[in-house]
Amino acid sequence: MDKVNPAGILLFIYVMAPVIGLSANAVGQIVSFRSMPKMGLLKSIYLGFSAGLVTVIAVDILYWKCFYALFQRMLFPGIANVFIYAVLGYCYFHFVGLGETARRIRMLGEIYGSRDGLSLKEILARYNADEIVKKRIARLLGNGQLVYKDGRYFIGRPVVLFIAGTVMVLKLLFLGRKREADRGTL
Amino acid sequence: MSILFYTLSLAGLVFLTHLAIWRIRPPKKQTAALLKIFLFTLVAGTSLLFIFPGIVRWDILPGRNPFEIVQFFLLFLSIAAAYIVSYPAIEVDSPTLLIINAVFEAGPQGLEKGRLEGMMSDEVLVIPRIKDMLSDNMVYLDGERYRLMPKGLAMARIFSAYRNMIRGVKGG
Repeated sequence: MDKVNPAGILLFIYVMAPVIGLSANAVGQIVSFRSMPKMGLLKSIYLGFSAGLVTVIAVDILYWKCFYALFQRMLFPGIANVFIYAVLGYCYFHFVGLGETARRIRMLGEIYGSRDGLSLKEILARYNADEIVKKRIARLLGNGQLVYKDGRYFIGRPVVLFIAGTVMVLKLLFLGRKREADRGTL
Repeated sequence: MSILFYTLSLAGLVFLTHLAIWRIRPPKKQTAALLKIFLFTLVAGTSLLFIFPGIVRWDILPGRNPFEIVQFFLLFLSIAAAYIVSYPAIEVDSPTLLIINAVFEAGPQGLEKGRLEGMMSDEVLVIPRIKDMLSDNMVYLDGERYRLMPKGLAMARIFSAYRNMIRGVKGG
């Protein structure tokens, strides 16, 4: 049987650093949220992302330390590792966000939890526009994106407004309309 | 650096192809179409490295050693995943962004509480998503009841397992 090549194993770990980082991200996020639920989901995502980033950088440094002669050749692949990890971290953030805010995921969950499927009336009794709007307004007020004063809503911090503007530009660019409702099929 | 350069160039090419096709006629199943564009670009981009090895010497393309190929694949696939999960924000209206736009359009006098809630009905926020689930083969209609198809069941199980892991409450 061939001897295992330690340099080969280390190179494999080096290439897989973003995936190892993603695992550390998920574990860090889940453990931190479970142990400190009051911190909120968003902070647990930041914490998980930081844990993953530290892991990727640690693997990069470990590899450079073991193969110092290759440092110059392996510097850019190390930077690429961090870049790949950041993109994977963004995907994980989206995954958590989908579970938290996506309407389809919520409705799939409601149907999954029922014994015999659900009629439209039953779906709307469990999940409807009223609940959707209330939840989102509570989130927007909670993070300061909206301000409520004298029975009226005002824009608070402009971050989500900026995102809304960017999405609208992209909608116009790709679909030629500002809103889904503009296609007139609702 | 060549890995970053080459992969980001291919991602730029995907963006332009996406834009061109969508401007002519957006496909009915947009996510599936995006997936096909990414797969085609990945196959074409990888083939280029092997068919024209000469251009690798310019040092703008990844080499053909397994290390660089794996890293190129990882980067390309992660960008593809990020692109595809972000696209629904353009395809469908997000209730959060609809709320923010409505408040912004109301101007400095703000938007009355009752008016905002009246603007968002089930026909705008819920029914289109049910239609999407039907056309994406996540659910089917059995008489008057919506039931899960294998794709919808898999998604429901994944998110239910995650929710159990974090001991979270229902989202939406």
